[in-house]
Amino acid sequence: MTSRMALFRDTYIYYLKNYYRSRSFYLMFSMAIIVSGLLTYLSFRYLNDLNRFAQSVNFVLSGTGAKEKILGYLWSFVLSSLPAFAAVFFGSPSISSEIETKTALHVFTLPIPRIILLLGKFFSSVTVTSIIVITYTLFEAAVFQYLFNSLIIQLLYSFLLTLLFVLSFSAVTFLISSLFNRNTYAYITALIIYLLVFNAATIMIELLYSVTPYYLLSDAASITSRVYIDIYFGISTSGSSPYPASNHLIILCSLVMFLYFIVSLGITAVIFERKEVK
Amino acid sequence: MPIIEVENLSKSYGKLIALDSLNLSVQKGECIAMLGPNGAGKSTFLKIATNIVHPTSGTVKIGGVIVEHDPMGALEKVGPLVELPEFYPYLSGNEILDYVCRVKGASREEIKSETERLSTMLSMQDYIGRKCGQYSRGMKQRLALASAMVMDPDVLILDEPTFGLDPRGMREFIDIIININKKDSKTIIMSTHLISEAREIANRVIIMNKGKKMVDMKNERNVSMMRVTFSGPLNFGSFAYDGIEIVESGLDWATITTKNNDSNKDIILKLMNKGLEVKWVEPVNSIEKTYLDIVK
Repeated sequence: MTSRMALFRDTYIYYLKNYYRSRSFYLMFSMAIIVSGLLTYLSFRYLNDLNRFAQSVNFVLSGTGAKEKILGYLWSFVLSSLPAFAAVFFGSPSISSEIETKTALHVFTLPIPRIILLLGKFFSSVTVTSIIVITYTLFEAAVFQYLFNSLIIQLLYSFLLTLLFVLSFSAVTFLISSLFNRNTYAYITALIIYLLVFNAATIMIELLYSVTPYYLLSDAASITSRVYIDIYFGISTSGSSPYPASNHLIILCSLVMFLYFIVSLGITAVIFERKEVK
Repeated sequence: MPIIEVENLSKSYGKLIALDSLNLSVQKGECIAMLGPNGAGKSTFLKIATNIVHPTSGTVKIGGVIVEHDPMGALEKVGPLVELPEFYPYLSGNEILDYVCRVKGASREEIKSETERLSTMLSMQDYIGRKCGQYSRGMKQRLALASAMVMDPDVLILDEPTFGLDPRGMREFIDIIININKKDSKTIIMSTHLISEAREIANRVIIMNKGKKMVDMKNERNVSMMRVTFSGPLNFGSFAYDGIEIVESGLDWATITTKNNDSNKDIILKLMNKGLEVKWVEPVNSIEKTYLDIVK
């Protein structure tokens, strides 16, 4: 009997090959390169104009490290969106496509527990999403090292939290995918939930109760940029932010993301176990 | 002990009953063909037996293991080919077979030899290294059969295995299946729409309709049957000689059969010698006749 660990390893490699050879991967990878390239160009070309740009949108920052912070803000803006789009791209069709394209007629009949199929596919999807994020982060690190001779430690923290976000949001996209038998519905639902439902809920809760709902994944994910830039748009400061990402907040947001990961993957496993191809 | 046991197996989709209390017992080495029109329940049964669909009630045991309770244990010795499965488009046929071998616990040497053996057996050497996204329907069907035959399973479950193949491919497939059943004494359950295929391959035929098993019959290939049309009204007395049996008759026709060694030609000559003017003779398959009686 093949051990479960060996089965998981083989399944992970099997799916990973299919992911990294796919057009979806190359498309997303190209996007990451293009966006990184554009930001690199902006960083080098307009470094001395950054304060002027910031002032034009009432964003005043001066003193030591001001340019670094403004540039950090620009880079982190993309860093917080890129993993979300990549996760939707790779995660949303993960289970629905098995039914829609009928690959399930082959893999479901193999003597392998479905939980292993699910975990193998999930972690291979997380891997390719992470490759996209790593590509972007490497560009960012190289630019900051060259321009400011500093590989800021916040970038590392931010990157680790981004990986946690990739894990949690991928689990959510897998859960959404398990509810549908068609990829289009899964894609649209994942995007609507993340871009509209979460944002609408955040606005309503902030207006009604004057608190930021960190229990919503999109708000918990904002920690990835906060630990990095440590500043808020529209707030003038030359030193540390008046609203720094405290240790308490980092732990809270990490915990929320981890819970999304565990709960979403758990429910997905239950649904996937009962999934049928009629 | 039967290798496959099906007890009171039912499957419903809302109000639609796809499979209704199916009971079946399959002995080792049997080759069963399931016939029936679309929606008869054949594919539903095979999907339940291969863990693609879960039953509403009842059980399927393979090798004494209930598929729903322990799919891994039950499917370990099963080679399934259900409908026309698709494969991940960016993986090659070799990689698909490699993975199936690994899942079935093959060693590195076994993986290499199995992949070579199956690609040779199913004439896939020319394209086995290509990505599955470039495969034609027939190529995918061959890969699916190769995948089903990985590590020489005791039971083959084949759902319309020749569907989508060209006539030459169909012939090759049929020969392979017959060979597997006869030479290797493998147990085979297959569904098909083709009566000729069932007649040629199977030694037992099950006819299903509207989710129910209607007939479970032996495939007696040595019994010939034909429908004879005469020029005038039929005189039943003319058939009164040894070996001829009237299965069905009309005003000027009769479906007749013989259980001795008379060929169709001998029977016709005997009828003509009795003074009957034979206008038209049409061979009738007993499976075909039963099938048409049931689904009409």
